[in-house]
Amino acid sequence: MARLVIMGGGVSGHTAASFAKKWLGKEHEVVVVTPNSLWNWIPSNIFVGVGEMTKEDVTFPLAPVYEKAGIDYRQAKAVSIHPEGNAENDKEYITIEYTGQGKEGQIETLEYDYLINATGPKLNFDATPGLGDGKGQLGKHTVSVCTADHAIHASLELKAIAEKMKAGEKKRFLIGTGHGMCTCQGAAFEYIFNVDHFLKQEGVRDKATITYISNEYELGDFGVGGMHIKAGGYVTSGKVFAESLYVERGLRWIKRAHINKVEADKVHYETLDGSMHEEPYDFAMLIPPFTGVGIKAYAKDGSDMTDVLFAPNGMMKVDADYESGARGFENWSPKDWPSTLQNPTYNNIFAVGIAFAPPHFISKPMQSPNGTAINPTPPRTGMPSAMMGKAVANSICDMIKGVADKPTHTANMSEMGAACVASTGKGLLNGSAVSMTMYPVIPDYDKYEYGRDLNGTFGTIGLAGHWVKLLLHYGFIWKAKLKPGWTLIPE
Amino acid sequence: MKHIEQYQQSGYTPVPGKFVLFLRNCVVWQIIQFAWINLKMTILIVKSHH
Ligand SMILES: Cc1cc2nc3c(=O)[nH]c(=O)nc-3n(C[C@H](O)[C@H](O)[C@H](O)COP(=O)(O)OP(=O)(O)OC[C@H]3O[C@@H](n4cnc5c(N)ncnc54)[C@H](O)[C@@H]3O)c2cc1C
Repeated sequence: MARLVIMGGGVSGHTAASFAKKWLGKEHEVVVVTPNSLWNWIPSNIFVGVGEMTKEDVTFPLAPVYEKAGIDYRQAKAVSIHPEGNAENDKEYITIEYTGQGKEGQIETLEYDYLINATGPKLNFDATPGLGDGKGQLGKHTVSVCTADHAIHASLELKAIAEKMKAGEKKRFLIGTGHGMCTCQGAAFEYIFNVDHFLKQEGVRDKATITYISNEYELGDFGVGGMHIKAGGYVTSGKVFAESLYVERGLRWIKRAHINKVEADKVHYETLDGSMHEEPYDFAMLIPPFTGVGIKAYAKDGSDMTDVLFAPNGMMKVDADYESGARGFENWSPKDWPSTLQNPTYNNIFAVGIAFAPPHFISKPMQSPNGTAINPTPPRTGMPSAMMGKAVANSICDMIKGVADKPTHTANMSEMGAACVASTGKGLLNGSAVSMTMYPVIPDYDKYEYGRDLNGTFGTIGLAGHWVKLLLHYGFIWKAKLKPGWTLIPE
Repeated sequence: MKHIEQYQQSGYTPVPGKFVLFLRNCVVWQIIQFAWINLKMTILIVKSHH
């Protein structure tokens, strides 16, 4: 009997665990180590953040789902990896620290035959003074929608400010990225439209100034170097599409910005030209930069070998070309990106979703004259993350079953698409959304004139996208609960 | 009269006209769009699995 241990039960880890258990059956063990008792459909946190959904709408308890599926669930966080075992025992293992199941704080070891790192991001609020609380958590000045609890807090703050506006006060809203090296602009993009919609519904939009602040070179960059779409007989940059959405809603924007300090009523920021500015606010939702979650690795003799398994940003090394970053933007190629997601040193370790270390940015690296890096880091959104989870589960199952001794499936972002639907409103007829797809995520200028397939890359606005978003919300939660037919719902 | 703000961000950006705004909420057209978006996404998913 082989044991597959999956660290992280989010989008990619849960997908990997569900498929691996289905394919391996009772003959082999699948163990998930994840610190939260609830599974969260993170994209819908946006709606929690404006009070349109509750925490219960976007989360469900993992324990009963895993019990029914026959997956061994440990409510714990992974602390360290020992890929060569220790002085007494050659067997590879991880250490975990329980966060629930009545064992809070207890440390255990867990042996594995195969290991998947799907631990997602550490929300690194402390990278910007004042954005964090100095202890790794969200600070007191701004709100976030990155977790369901953060989103509840955001909606309460939003409601409170709307009440003041109803009494006649004017308020300034600032939404965007809280650091020059953030990713996940899509979440801020969707949230700003939802805040605009919320304020309209409350009848106080005329009392609000809403500003988007971003580390993107141009709006619509999204950390993927922007994209082109066909519209109105033209091939148009996504910048035009994005700016149009902002202007239509009366939103202003600040781009190429690195926020270097957050205070109670203003942020300080530097722009790519090296100039320093301040922007006042009454309500701010700023996305933090992401790093790896900080798992350590130790060799057989107990010496620290974290740098063998992980890149300096704490994300795990896989089969990417890590030398390619130094070759410069002009020489980057889709081939730099990982395919099997297997660790190059230990072939029974894999990393999926946000946990794998990208070889370099996708957007062009930029620096201000003061040496401040201001550019988005590569996103690994839900669809590619889930696809990576499934592909790696497939490879590992084949390796366990002896079908092959190396990975049989790939999930390379240069051969994968991504979809993003930014929706506002509630109900079937009261809503609108921007729907975008791109193929591939990593542009390939040797293959496509505009870097991407213009048939697979498109954007449209309207009620239909809002229906798609509802379909995705209910469909993915159904799938994650492993309800009948879950395998038919695509990642 | 309400007019665009010259020399501001909004003065340089295309905005949708009445017909486009109508189509965005026209249920019949949006049902067609719904099918179209789903088809596009399905093709994307099929092309992405390896
Ligand atoms: C507000 C918001 C909106 C978004 N909207 C969209 C969208 O519309 N479409 C889209 O495609 N993507 C969207 N995304 C991105 C999407 O949520 C991520 O791409 C996806 O969740 C990444 O999956 P993952 O498995 O890598 O990480 P996660 O889903 O974050 O999962 C990581 C898991 O690992 C656990 N973990 C952390 N530390 C440890 C540890 N030490 N040991 C064990 N487990 C650990 C975490 O608790 C978590 O359960 C959005 C993100 C945000 C924040």
